[in-house]
Amino acid sequence: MDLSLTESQEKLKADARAFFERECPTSLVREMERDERGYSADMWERMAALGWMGLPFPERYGGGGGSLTDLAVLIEEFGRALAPGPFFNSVAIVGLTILDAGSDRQKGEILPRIADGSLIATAALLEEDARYRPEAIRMTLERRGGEFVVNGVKMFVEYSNSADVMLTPLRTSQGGVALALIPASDTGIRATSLDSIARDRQFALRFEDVPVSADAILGSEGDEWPALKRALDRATLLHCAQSVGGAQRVLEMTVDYTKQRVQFDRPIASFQSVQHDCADMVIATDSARLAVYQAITRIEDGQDADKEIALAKTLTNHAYKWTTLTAQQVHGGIAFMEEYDLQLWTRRAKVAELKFGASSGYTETFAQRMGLA
Amino acid sequence: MDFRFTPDQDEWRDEIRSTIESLITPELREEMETADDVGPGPAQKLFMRELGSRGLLGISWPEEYGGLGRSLMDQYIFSEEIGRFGSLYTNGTATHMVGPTIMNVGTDEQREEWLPKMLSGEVECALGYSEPGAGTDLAGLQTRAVVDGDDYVINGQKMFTSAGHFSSHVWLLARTDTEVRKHRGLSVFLVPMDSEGISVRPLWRMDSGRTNEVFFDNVRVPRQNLIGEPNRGWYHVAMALDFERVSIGSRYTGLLRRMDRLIKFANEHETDGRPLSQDPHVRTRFVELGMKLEVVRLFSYRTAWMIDQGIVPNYESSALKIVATDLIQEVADFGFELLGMYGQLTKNSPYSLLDGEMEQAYRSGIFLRFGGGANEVQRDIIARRGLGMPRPDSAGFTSLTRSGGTQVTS
Repeated sequence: MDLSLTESQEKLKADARAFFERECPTSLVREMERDERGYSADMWERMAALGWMGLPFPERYGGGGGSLTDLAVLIEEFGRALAPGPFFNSVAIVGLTILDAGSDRQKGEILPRIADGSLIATAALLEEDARYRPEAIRMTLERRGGEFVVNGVKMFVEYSNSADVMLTPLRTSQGGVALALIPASDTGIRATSLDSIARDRQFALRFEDVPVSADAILGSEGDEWPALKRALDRATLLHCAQSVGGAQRVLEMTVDYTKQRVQFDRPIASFQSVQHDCADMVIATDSARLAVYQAITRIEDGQDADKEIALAKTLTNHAYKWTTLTAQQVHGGIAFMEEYDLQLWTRRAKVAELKFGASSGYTETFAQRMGLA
Repeated sequence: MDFRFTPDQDEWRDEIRSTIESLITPELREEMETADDVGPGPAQKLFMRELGSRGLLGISWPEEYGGLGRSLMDQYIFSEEIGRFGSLYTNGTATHMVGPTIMNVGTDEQREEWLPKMLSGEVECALGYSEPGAGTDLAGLQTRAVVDGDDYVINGQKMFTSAGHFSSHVWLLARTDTEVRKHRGLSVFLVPMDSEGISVRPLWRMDSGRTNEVFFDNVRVPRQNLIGEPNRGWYHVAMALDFERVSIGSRYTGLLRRMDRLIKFANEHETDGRPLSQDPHVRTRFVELGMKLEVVRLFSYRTAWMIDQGIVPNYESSALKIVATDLIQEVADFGFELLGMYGQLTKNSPYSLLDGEMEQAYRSGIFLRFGGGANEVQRDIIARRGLGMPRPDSAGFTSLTRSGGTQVTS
């Protein structure tokens, strides 16, 4: 048992924190909420220069040879800073899926370009039946001659306006699940911008006879649900790490505020009810973090992690959302003001709860794993 | 990061599990099933001494003091294994709290006198902390110890001295200086329970267990029974609490055992033509509790790992105490409900289910949420030690710095 971060992970964490404190103040987060692209191209290049975008890829693909835990440590800092941009989609979802399920040629062609930041990838995982289930995949992949065409609708696709390619789960004519990398700029894709509570860049995309070449298909045509499941598992946990980073920041922000805010001639931090709210935030956040890293290390070791993922996601859903709502309550009126930063986290925490599955969706998995008939 | 035990630790676990199993005699089983919770009976005491003769009461004690010299993680694993069998008596107050404190602050003579007897089970300790007027505000206690020649003379009353009726000694915190601030005038003693002037009166708990009032009327103990430094008792006791935390593993496995019993019951009993476990409400509640149990496990591992690394946990063990003891009550409440009207039946009743365990657990679960440091105080500790928040009585900004230990940042 070793619950500490390695020296290099500690360094990565410290470097990332310093980077975001310098490069990603909340003023930038706010600016990007109004920005058409939704992230800073300048910051993107700086992150690429630090090697972050290739962190979890092997060195032969221009990567840093890091582990999933390394990536989680980094992504926790993204969540802390609310750093906007397609990093998560490009690296944590698409990059790792290509590494897992792609051919040597696909890996060799695409991963180095994700790693150096020159290629931006996003994942079009959801459709109108917006659940992370195989039966919710309806977008069709049909053969036409030596090529394929794709028809259907993808929902809640992030940063597709900046992306070069989209990882897209598809339903084959034989009823199987395929994964394709579709050029995002194809003229057959019609994008509708969505305004959301998090004010990030999301789109509904309608695909009409979009051509896909055979070499854009990952793995075997029609047998890729297991690869997609693995991708979702990784993404779920890395997304949890991001949320834990957010919850930790909210906790610290709240404690700092209570030490400064004076009522009845004393800092409100000295009131026991306020202290107990903060103590419960610690318990929730620590629980989530431990559960997330436990599940990640199980995946790294190739062990079954369904129970641990269910635990991690459920605890994280609670920790992040509940921490933001409690923080709002402890702050009172001041943090209800748009100009106060806390709401930036509060608005995102609610979406984070639902992304990659609300807690109720994990109940049955956990029930079976604990031995309930 | 690695959340797994090492192969050596797994081996150790197997070894002690089979040792414990080999020591569970039919007499012990019967005693545990039938005896009321008035303290360990003859079979449990024998079991404890058998553990002692195998060195298992001093797993993490240094070899120079008669221990096995193993890691605190090995001690933690032992406490997990013992917890699987319900609440077995292991002389824990002596071996996890008092003994390690003597190792740290006692004289060579005190170590020689007390430590071997604690490891063999000959010396068993009751905790003499609480008083009628000193509970959560322990440092306000009134029991006095005054020097008289070669002795201290003790007068006063202790309250909720749970092991007082079956222990050989009481680990007594008493006031030795009334002229200084309350935390700085306390000393800690080992007092034989058969000393003249000690009287013990039972207090019956609502869970049928026994605790005691202990009265001290001019009780004389030799000066060498004062452990550590005079007037440093408060700090020695705080240290003892830190040591106590290696026995936390039994909370997790104890809960696990109870949950598994409930799962088995829900799988095997039908309602509306399907197993109780398939009732949506029951299933959801099981999952909620099962996830909380996983948090108890993760917090236990974290605390054990920290101790094993030589880091004294502060807020982390408070977090564990809160989640574990809240869950003990919650599981009892849910288990009772799961049994329906049969949940109310005691183990002595015909028709009782699961040996009346839920009825008993519902009553006894109340204790742990305030005993051993009320959960409110544990939340205070997280806020003050972990987050550096000020004490409620501080009027200004002076105590914003933390008092030590790890602070909650990442």
